[in-house]
Amino acid sequence: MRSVSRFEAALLHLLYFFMKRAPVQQATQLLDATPARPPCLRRAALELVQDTLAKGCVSLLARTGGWQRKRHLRGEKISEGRLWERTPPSELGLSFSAQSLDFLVWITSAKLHDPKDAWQPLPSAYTVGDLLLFYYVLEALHTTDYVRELVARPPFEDNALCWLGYPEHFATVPTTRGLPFDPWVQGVGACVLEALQPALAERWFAVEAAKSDIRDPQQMRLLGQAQNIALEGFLNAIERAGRLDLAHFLLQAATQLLTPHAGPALWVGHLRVGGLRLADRTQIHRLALIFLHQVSRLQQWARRARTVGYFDEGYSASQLWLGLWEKFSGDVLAERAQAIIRHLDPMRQSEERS
Amino acid sequence: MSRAYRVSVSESLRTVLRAQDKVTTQLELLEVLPAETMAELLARELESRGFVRDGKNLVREEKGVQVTVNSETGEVTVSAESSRETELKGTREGRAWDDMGPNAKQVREELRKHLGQELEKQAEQKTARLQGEVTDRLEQALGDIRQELDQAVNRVTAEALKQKAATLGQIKELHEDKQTGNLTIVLEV
Repeated sequence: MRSVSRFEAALLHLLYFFMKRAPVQQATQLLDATPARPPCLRRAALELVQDTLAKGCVSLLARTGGWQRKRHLRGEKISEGRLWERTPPSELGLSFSAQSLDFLVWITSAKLHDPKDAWQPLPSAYTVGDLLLFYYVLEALHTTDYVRELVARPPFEDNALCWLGYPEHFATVPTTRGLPFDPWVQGVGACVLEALQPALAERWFAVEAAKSDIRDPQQMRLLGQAQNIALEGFLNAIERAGRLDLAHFLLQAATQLLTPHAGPALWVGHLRVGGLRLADRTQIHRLALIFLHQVSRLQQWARRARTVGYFDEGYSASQLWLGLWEKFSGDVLAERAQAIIRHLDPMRQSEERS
Repeated sequence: MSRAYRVSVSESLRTVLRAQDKVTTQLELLEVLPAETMAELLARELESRGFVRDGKNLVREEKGVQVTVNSETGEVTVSAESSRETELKGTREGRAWDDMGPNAKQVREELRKHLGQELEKQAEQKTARLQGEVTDRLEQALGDIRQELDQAVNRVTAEALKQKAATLGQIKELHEDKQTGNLTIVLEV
């Protein structure tokens, strides 16, 4: 039996909530309270935090997608199996720096609705474990009112994984630099991304499906821009790293969205563009369909992969991507995507009307 | 006993209202022959339809709508713009405690400021109406332009296929159905 202070108990409860072990009602009460920050935490509390982080993150990754038998690249070869079968557990270790602990202390004591009460990161780099914790924090809070205040501040504002998972929350967050996706396309970061594939597929499907309810063109524009920033950064990073297999979730989401009966109404059905210039209307439609536009990039990868010979570099990676592309009938998806894009081409619409 | 004096100001605003709109799309040209040859065929076809060369671009303006086609990339820009010089006038009245004194001066300044804002608002409304006219004009022209460009692309593709076929063997028979756009080439290789 360990004893902790009231503040430490609040911190631990919040951490259990972020690790999906406690309900949101408990968490919101704790987030609304703003206890004074103590000078330090006691050893018992530190050990409990370490234990929860270590077991909690691993458990979440295993449950969301790590358990699934998948094929992913390992070096130049394709490896099949569950995540811990594709990579030895000794290489799957997540490390958490003082940043994680400092953030947890801050969020326990912070006035989240006060924009001046922003977390100041420590002057050291984040580890993959830190970044993953922040992702889980956003995931836990993404349906609450706190998310609006959080996303525009460190450590979320330039967390590439957060942008990739929840682009809709970053629609009004300015970014002038590219998002740092490199930690997620190599080493343990890539393994994390492999485990998150089902969750990311669900998220992208949800964001796209919700577009049919958007009426405000400006809202659609901002959402499309945020999605474009996330997708471009992600696809560029995996292409550079030769890890096209990490785009698996996009094919999954595309399969759910681009059914034989899918049409433009699923994206812009309620969008109020009357009265706008054609140039603005076209731009907003383009941003509304930004996900569909990227399907053609995935098709180009498949075309390139077909030209890679057995003795060429990247043969396994190409075969893996081709296998995925064919499994999801990528050419059919690309054709459906292009049909929807063409349908919203203003010159084609005018042709159909005249 | 003090009297209220009626104060009146008049303002006019001379301005040029501008509105413009454009759409951009892509021609789908099959690369039957090398890209430079296809670009040249497209340029010639468009020239025969009244387009004028301007470097890589082919440009035509008709009924206030300009069409620009980049023969190398196949990008098409259709644009329309309009400008109109207009003069807006307005008068506002108010009341002051003196005729030519400090209060009258203050009231006149306030009236001028509000009148100026009202005239600016009227200018914005007129610009929005002008913008609507430009957008309508552009929208009405798009259908015909698209049809014409599709025809141009079909003719370029047919010509490219003929040239390609001629390099493969001797053309024995060539039948072009102008209505459906079907092209049948019989080759002796």
